[in-house]
Amino acid sequence: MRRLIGLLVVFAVLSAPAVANAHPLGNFTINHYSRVQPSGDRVYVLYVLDMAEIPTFRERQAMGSPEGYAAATARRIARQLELVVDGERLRVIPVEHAIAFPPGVGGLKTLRLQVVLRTERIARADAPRSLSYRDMTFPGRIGWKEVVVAPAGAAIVLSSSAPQESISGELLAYPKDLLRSPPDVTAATASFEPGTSPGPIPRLASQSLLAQRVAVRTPTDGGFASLVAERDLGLGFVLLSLVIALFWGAAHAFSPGHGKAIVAGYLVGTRGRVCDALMLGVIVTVTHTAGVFALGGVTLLLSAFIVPEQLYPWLNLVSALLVVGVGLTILRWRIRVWRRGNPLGHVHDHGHDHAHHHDHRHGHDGGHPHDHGDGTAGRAGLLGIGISAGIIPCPTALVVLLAAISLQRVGYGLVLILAFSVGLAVAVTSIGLVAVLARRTFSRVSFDGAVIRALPAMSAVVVLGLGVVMTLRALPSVL
Amino acid sequence: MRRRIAFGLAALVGVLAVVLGGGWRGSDATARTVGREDLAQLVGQFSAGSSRSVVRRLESTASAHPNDTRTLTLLGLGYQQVARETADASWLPRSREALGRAASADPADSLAVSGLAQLAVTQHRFRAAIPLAHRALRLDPENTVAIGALGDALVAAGHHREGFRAYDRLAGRGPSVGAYARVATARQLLGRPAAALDAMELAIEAGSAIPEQEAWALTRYGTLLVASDRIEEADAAFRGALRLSPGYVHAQAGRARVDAARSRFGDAARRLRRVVDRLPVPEYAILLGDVLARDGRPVAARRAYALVSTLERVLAANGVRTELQTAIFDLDHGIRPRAALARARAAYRAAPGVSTADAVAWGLARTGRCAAARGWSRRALVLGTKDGLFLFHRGMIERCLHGDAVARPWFARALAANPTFSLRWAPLAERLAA
Repeated sequence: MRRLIGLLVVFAVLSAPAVANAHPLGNFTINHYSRVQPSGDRVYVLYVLDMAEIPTFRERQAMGSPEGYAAATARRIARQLELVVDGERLRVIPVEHAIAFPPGVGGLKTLRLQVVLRTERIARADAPRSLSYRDMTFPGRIGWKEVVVAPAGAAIVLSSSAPQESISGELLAYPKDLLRSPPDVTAATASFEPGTSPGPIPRLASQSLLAQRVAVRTPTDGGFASLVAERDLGLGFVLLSLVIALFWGAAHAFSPGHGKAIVAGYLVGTRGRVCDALMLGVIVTVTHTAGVFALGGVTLLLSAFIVPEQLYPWLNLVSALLVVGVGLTILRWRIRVWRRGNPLGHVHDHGHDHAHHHDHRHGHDGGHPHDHGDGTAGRAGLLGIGISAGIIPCPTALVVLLAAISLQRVGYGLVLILAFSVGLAVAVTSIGLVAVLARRTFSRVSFDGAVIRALPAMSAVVVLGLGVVMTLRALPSVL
Repeated sequence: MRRRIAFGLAALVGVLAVVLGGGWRGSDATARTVGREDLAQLVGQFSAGSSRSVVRRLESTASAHPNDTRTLTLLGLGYQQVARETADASWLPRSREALGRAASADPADSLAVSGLAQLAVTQHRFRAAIPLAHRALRLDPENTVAIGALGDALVAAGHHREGFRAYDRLAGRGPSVGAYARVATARQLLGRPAAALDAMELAIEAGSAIPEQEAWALTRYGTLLVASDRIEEADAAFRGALRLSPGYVHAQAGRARVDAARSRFGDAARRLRRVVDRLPVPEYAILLGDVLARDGRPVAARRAYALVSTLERVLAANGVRTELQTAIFDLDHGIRPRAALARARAAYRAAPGVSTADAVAWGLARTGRCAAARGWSRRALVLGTKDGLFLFHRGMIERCLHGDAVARPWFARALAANPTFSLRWAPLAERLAA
């Protein structure tokens, strides 16, 4: 029953609605940033454009090749940047550019363009030169508008109206402070001394960085809204679910699938070494977590290559069907065993392991050191037991992970699994420890209690029900 | 979306009316940092059309005095103002944050609570708005922001009688654009377009120190005039709005409506392209698509309609309730009508008013269930609303049930209510009415 409740509660926690990954500044903003960089004997400008979903959609409707579009836009931007040095407007020409279409909300793209522009050579004068910069691109369009002035090479900036550092990571990560309007700075003045030789050219971001989904970071300067970032998944919620996952993992240790782990704990106990029991716990945790993580890793990797919004609906369906499959398999096996009148949960019975875990697991167990019951398993044997007990992602852990995926919270799911595995290991280790401490009493205890026998049957029904719910949730977005 | 903008603007007018008229009579004892003079100054800055700078000033005050609830309240209202001016919904969470802080720090702050009520109306969370507005009114029965929000939420949720009573109560607080514009809305719903125009004239007469407010009132007036087929006067109203607030995007859209009513579709399309560039909302994108389709440019029209779908995806992803507008658009264009009907039903559950009832009726009609559709159409027309589209939908339902002869008077009534009720459907209505 605890398991059932645990499952339901964890699922309820997981069902907390995932917040859509919309552009943090609103979906029709056009955000632009200039880094004015007196560098050596020239002034360079790194211009960054970040268009949210709607303007990107409109641009792409009329876009030929992205490269041609980027080049034409770079030229257009160059005409709309006004750079005046000592009262004379200098022409800026684009020398380099890069364009990418990071994923946005609802399977839409956003647009990120970086252009490096430069002026002609500027000779050094006796007095510092004055510089005024004005970004006249996209007039009247709302968005984040930021200018910084940052010297490089031998050039020196004496004074400037603009800061030297971007507060948005050059439009890659916007600070999330709800009670602060986005900056609306399109101009800057400065006085500077140019160098006498060429200075470094601003570098474009790497293509992978450029194609990264726009991020929001919580300000670290003790800003107002630092708690907002966690609001959708409260800390209390997460802690509660971790505790539940821990308990659930411990309860899970008593289910047939991990019967071997218990036996391992028992064996360790009979050999009477505390450190073995602890080590077994660590091994079980590591391997159990690693198995599920590997699966989660593959999922995360996939989502890096395919836009999650397109991937998730299908992933949801696949995971849902997988869970249904797992539920059906367990149920079928339960019924079969029931009909046969076989005693359940007998830890040395391999019949259930074929069904409950995957068949190849049996192969891994090849030697079955614990089955010999002679307590001669060495350290290597212990390792083998630990790994075999943990390595295969058991259906319950898989259900947690898949549920997390279906709610687009893979990272959270992985943390839950870790807690789950720790719970499992704690149970296994404690059994071992208890055995160490009370060997004689313990050797007479049977693990075939009625409650323990009933658990798997319940789990089959719960998993099946969960799978059906997930399938129903997943279907509409695919159809 | 049109309704949403109208609500948003009406709500804005409500706030400013309060601020201007000094109608807010809350706990002045707590008003330490921002007193009446600051309120007056706030209005002055709003009137200079620099709401962003007002907001920035309030932000810096708020960060210096994080526990000053009055500043937070004004900041929250200021964010709503910016959201309305830019139609950028990303300002609304800021408003919620500021007002939420103010209301939790001082639960007796009626203005903050009413700001939350008004925010809920703007976000189409009508059911949440009603208790908030009531709470604000318990704290201060004279809070006109709360009265306005209460009326808007009640009307949208289908409690028309109570909503109209709230509007009357608002109008009883003295003449203001916000009050009379809402009276006009009520009269429009009750099928009295001429009386609605009278109310809008009163709203314009009541005037405002803030040009944008007057521009809004004139634009609303012009839109009603277009519906009444008084195109010349409508054009004058929109031009007047543009003189008051140059480049005012809703007035530009109004002029495009005038162009379309004069069958100058090319001009309308040019104007609407600029409107959609600045304010990409589904309503104007649909209008652009319809205008382009009438202009015989199906490819460009398809492009505009594609933008509509994109906007809807984005809005839905942002948690904005768009069931009503997306359902009507999809039904009009035959895009997955069953799914659209389900959305119309969801919209009705959220806000059981006449527009959502009409959407359900249209959804049932477009999926071939005309008998059921008729009941819903009755519900949509229960107030006697003379809405061209509602009446056209009823005509199509009657035609499906009883044939052309029975439907003909409904089409005639639709065209009489508004000869240009829909660029897409009016030509069909003309054919079927003949």
